[in-house]
Amino acid sequence: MTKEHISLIELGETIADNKFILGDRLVEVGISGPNLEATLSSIAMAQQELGHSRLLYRWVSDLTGIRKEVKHQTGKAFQQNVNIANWIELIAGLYVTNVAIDLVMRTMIDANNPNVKPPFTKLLKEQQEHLIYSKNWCQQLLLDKGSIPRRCREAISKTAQEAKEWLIKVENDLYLVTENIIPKDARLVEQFESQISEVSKDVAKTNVG
Amino acid sequence: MTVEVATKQDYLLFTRINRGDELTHVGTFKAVNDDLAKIYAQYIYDEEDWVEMYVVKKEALVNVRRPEPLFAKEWDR
Repeated sequence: MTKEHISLIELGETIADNKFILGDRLVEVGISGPNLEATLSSIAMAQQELGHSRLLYRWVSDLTGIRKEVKHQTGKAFQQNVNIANWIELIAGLYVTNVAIDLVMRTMIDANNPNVKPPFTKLLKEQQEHLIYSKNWCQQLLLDKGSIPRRCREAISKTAQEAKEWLIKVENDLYLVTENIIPKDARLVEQFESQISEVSKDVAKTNVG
Repeated sequence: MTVEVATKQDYLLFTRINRGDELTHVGTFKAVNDDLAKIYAQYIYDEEDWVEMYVVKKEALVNVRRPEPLFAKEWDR
């Protein structure tokens, strides 16, 4: 394992850690969701997020050549996700994190580097469903009354800040770019910001309409 | 809650287990829009590997015949 190779391993572990934590929070916090439909979906999605993380940890262990049982995350999950304690933070975290992860995964698939072979295609469909679910719930919370819209905006903004820092790191990583794992003109941050701002725009349209 | 948030609608779920099977009504749930209804249907009713799934807004059902009410009160519902 070369020093440069670490960039790819860190990238894989960051995605896996976030999915591991989201899987855990979707059960712990999702069990007390606002209605039965949302709660049952949350529990089912937790299993899928944990499945994605298992797949990614296995991919990382193939890269490192070290097999170990995963009991905890490796410490690379976004702090905002680790601290998720209520439904608003859960939904914001699920949406923002999956937007960022989805962008990185699709960019890597498009780059089509034969030496990397990420196992992402298997999980993209499920991830897309998690995005639809969390985006719709974000919109509902942003349209809610009292302090809920403000708290939701704050939670989105905090997770988005961490996700943005990670995306900047990824798209400026010399190894990932020179090895064409992440193409030079990927514009991850630009795409990320555009997608995140879409939620608020859609809500504004609904309010005006 | 605003009108948009509060307006949950009843959805009916119809599924077919295998090709050629009857399309069966397997459940009812509430959702605020079609996107969430599709997600809820897949995640809540995952006990079978359905070959076909449809969600329909309950209000879209066209009434042909209704049962006679057992009590007068039922007409008010």
